Amino acid sequence: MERQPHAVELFVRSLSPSGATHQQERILERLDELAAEGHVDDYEVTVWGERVVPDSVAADTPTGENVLDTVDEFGSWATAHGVSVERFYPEQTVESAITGDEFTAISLPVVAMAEYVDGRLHHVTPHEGETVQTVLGRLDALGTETTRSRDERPLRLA
Amino acid sequence: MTPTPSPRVELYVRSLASRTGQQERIIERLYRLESAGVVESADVHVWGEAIELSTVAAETERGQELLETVSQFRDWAARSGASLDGPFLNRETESLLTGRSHTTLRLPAVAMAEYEGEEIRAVTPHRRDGTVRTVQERVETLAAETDRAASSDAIRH
Repeated sequence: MERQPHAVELFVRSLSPSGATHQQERILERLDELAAEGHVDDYEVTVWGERVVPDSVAADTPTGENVLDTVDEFGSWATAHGVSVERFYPEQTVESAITGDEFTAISLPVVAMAEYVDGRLHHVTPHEGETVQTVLGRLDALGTETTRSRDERPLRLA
Repeated sequence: MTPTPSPRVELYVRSLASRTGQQERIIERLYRLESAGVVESADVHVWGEAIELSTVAAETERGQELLETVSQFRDWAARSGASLDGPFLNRETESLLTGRSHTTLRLPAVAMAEYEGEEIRAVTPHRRDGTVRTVQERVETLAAETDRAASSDAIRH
């Protein structure tokens, strides 16, 4: 069976988030290796910042809508696969320093990864099922897994 | 006198959610200026809080793109006698794990570039002759210039 294109998009808060640089660097190094070995075809990095307030002007911009759509899409993927991503996107009530108004903000994970096969969302990390699957854990699995075992349980959505 | 063409505006933010309402007001104002035709377009990009040089992250396509943008901002500053050294700060840090020192480029919470075609016309925030010009002030100036142009137009007719 011919392998389908396996593209990866890595979402990061910052290209140099304080304290998380080592982990992020290891993830990017690992992605480079996996791309060189042909386990992934291509990867892209998207900076999505630390937080997003759904009810804000910034969230209404195309960039903001993309971030919120991505978070929604990850949630739908998790539900369809009997896992959860919620705890990685905690909602907080934040008070404006100036007006005192309260609003809801969604915290974004330091690093999240989406895999697309044939242009369709195939896998999301981090997620939580019986255990937590981290981005690095998933990359290790991708490196050791053969193409066949990765594709033998194709995604079946109603 | 030929009118100055409307600039294309690119706004760069550390995060979509800011701690103060200032970023929200800037985006709101820019969108109004876009509808009024004062700016040709206004786009918002997230660039995070910093970029550490000589890392795999800096070598990715996104990292290279970001560093290229900052380098174009600096070229503009050199051409126009402005300084970006305050907002775009290179900081040396030493890794506790490896003992090696790294250079981290801190990015401003909000920065704005105005383009005419591919050419940068202005970058804020910047410092010139000891005065700091903020994004907020620059947006107000753009709005005021239009109001003036509109009222002088009204007098002429």
